[in-house]
Amino acid sequence: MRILLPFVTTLVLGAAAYFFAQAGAQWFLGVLLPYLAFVVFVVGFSAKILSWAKVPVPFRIQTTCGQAKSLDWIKANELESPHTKLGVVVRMALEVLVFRSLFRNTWTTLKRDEKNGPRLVHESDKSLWLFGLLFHWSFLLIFVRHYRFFLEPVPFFVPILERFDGLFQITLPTFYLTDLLILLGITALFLRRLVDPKVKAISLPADFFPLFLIGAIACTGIAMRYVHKVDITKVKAHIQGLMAFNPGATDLEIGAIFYAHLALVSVLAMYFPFSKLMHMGGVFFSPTRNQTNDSREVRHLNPWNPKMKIRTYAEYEDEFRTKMKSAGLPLDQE
Amino acid sequence: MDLETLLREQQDSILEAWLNAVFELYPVEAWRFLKSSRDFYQNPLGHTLASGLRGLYAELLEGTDANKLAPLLDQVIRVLAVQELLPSQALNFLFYLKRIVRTQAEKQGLSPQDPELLGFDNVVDQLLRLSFDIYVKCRERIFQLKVEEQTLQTEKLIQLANSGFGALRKL
Amino acid sequence: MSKYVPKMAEMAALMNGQQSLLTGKAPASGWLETPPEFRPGNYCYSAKPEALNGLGLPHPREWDPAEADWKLPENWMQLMRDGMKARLEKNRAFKLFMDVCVRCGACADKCHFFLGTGDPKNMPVMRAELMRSIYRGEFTTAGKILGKLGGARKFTEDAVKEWYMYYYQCTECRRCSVFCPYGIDTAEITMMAREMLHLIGVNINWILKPASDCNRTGNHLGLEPHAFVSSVNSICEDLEDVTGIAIEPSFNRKGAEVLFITPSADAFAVPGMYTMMGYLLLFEHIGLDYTISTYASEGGNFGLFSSNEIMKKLNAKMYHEAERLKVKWILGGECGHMWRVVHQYMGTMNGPADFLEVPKSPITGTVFHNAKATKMVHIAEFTADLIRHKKLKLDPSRNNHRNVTFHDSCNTSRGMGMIEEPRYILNAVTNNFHEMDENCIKEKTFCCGSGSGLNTEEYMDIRMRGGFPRASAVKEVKEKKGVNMLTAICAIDRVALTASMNYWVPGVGVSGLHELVGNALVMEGEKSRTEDLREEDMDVEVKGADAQAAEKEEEKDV
Repeated sequence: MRILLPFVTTLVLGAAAYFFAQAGAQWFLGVLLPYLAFVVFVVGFSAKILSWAKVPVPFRIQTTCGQAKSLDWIKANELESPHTKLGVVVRMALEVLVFRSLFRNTWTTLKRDEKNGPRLVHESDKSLWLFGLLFHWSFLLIFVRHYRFFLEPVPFFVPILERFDGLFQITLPTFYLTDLLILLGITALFLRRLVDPKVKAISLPADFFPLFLIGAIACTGIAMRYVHKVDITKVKAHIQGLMAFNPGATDLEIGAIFYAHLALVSVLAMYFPFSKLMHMGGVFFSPTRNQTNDSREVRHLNPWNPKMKIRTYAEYEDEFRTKMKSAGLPLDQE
Repeated sequence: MDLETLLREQQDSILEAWLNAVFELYPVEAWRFLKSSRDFYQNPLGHTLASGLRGLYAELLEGTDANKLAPLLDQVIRVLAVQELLPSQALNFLFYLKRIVRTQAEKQGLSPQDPELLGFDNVVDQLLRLSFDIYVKCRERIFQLKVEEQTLQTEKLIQLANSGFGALRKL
Repeated sequence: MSKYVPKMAEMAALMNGQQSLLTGKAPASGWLETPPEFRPGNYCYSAKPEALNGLGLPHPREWDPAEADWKLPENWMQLMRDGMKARLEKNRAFKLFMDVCVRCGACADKCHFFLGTGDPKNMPVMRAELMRSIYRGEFTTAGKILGKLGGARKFTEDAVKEWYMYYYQCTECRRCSVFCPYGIDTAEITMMAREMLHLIGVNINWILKPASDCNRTGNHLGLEPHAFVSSVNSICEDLEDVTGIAIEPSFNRKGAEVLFITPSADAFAVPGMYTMMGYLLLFEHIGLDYTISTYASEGGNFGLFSSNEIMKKLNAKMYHEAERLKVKWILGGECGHMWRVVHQYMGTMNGPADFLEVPKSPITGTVFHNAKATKMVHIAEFTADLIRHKKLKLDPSRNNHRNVTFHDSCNTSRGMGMIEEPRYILNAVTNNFHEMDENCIKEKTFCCGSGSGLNTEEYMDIRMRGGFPRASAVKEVKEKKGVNMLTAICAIDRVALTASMNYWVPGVGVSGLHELVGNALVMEGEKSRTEDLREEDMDVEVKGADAQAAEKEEEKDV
């Protein structure tokens, strides 16, 4: 049920878009829905970011993953326990760009060495890191490649990217490596949710749905390019029209598969702000990673620092004066 | 086929059945979820349990040297003794072994009254006696720890109290 | 068929029927439908009304977690809902951690309690989901609409019980946070859960009793000033018996340069008191001008395990006393959670400490810039600096009878980044220091299994299971390198690991870092001895002032 439901939902969404497009709902699918999705995405995303930004960070709680800056002659680990803003930027960059923390992942396994027999070791495990990285980077590169449709003239980096991506010219049109890698990444991320009992136990429908949805988007995109070809000039013209707020002036007869692709992307955009996909924005806000480890050096302020009545020394002395006196302790008031 | 050959030849299947039976002792929530994979062996606790049981089986094949068997039994029971199991459940693993070996033996056509089989039963019975001692020792250890912890945490104060509270006698 | 067979079957059924969760019959339901079951040994005792009254906490009453009725206040649900809402609006980390988890599972097998119990609700992600599911059900539109399908649920009494069980089965060690791609810190979630449970009077005695005692008397055990003084003095007497060095520390003395605060366990517990001996010898060795306070005689802060308000209240006493005694700065002893509070909360909560000076070592002249605002220095930093400047006369061979490994305390490694200082000291004061498996030391260190106030005797079985991952790493170095001493810079470690080693790795002792320092210190005027601070035999013989004088006499004669 946890898997089937999101799977069926994705299928139904894709199929519905396909058939509605054939039935002549292009204007709804090609104009109304993208506009709606865009608004929902921008408003939802900003609202979510705002909802985090407006909440204070009362304490400076970092997770230090390396030696802090202390004595001059002890080598501090600026990347894992940053002391300066620059260190934080680099730490965050490593986290966001190459998933530093996932790179650390270990799993516990039996290792046999001949001398000591089997022993249990906590061994490095890079699989989640690798597939996560494959998936996210492919997604990003594919997204950037799509700038060909958004911008005229096409930005200089797009053709460069396309050349590298299409290094293996085994099909016509040029085969893009990222198309393969993103599917590989999604499949691996999906399979580990089935195979690893730990991850299986924690997976919710909300974990499967984005995988299926993005998978379906990738599949319709690939189909459009290699199998069910659509007229790219029409697509570009249409997108340009949308972006110039002058939709409908172009030919909307593009091919149902395009509308399925576009509709799924729109669904993704609308789903995004209300789901775990917001980790994209959230990662930048993580207080355990984005703060400097200098809380003893610079005082961090808490806007709601509560006033507390403490038990003062005077009260303490009042209660224990006789006993303190007989123990020879100095007193403030005899 | 004699019993020893059987125990050697069927080692893998007997061990697997035995380990599975022992894992069923684990609280449901845990094993339901761990048993579905080989993960349990890769969990430090499960690993200790499994390697102890394997060692025990291997040692049984070699002989019945209590000096070698006791540390292995200890390894297994030390884990089981802190699992919120009833004593009878914690020591059930040896009954399982008997039952599993008997089932296998009968499948291979050994008579239930086979003297070797009866001998094996006897050995496991001896192990059970040993296990009982070890289990009780483990639990005693736990209770002792509880008491010791209390005294260790206040060691100095108890010393002071015993010495008539030293400087405080004036009070 | 034997006549016994049916009876045996009946008996077995009876046995199995008693404790259904243990019989191996898997419930078909998912984790949300599996309620927690309280059995002796798997929960901590509830807090007594006196402890709550002592701290002014709401809803004091006698209640028992093992009983069905927890006597919750009538409006408990509203209190929880309001409490959660308030915290979502006050703490970005909490709000963010509720929103961004993708359940990738990187944290799942990083928890010592999960590794030790196999209970899926002990996976950090699942522990957080216990809270997140309610967040979704009570506070998000999607969760309200989708319900269980969206992994959402509402507050129920069972959920509260589940929280009690699992948020008091988390030691706030933060190991999971190291591996999380978004830095989600389960400790923070656990702390919010505990704060909320306080609102409805659901708390454990072993945390609140010490917290309440600490507030009143200055230390966790509730030792009144005179008793505290005689306890420390008695340690000094023992110290003199062993080393021949007479030390008289001052208490509550105004105008000392340094106020020394250490967890109170060092003043009366074994093995903490040997660490205390180490501090005292060290201070004597360098002639430090210091004083110990009876009012702020507790470095530890059980407020960290209950709520930020209690934490602040207890922590405030350190500055209050430092100001009254007019010291220049504060030196802190070996303690894990005390240092988490000092490093990450103290300045924010009770600063600015303008009445103190930026700490400067009077011996080496080193200025501790890293403690510029808080004005509190960790003793490992202080001692490492002394050793670096060759201000200590050390004879590491006096620790030759110890094969040492070092247990990084969760709070100092993951909460401060103090990793190299203790190792530097260990290498200077011992000749045999061996590291454990690299994936369970430093920032990846395993918890002792009893942190965050779970160090109570009724919880011993679970503590043993939680302590198992650490113990198995120790066992490995014991077998390979002959390690016989586990050193830690945390008072809870010193107690908890002692029990855990006793059960899992007999033959390995537990010590503080400064016990080994004290042992290696060559003191002026010390007497000849063959025993270390614990009065256990050393490998080497110490030739004291008496023996040296005698030798000189002999030389003269020759």
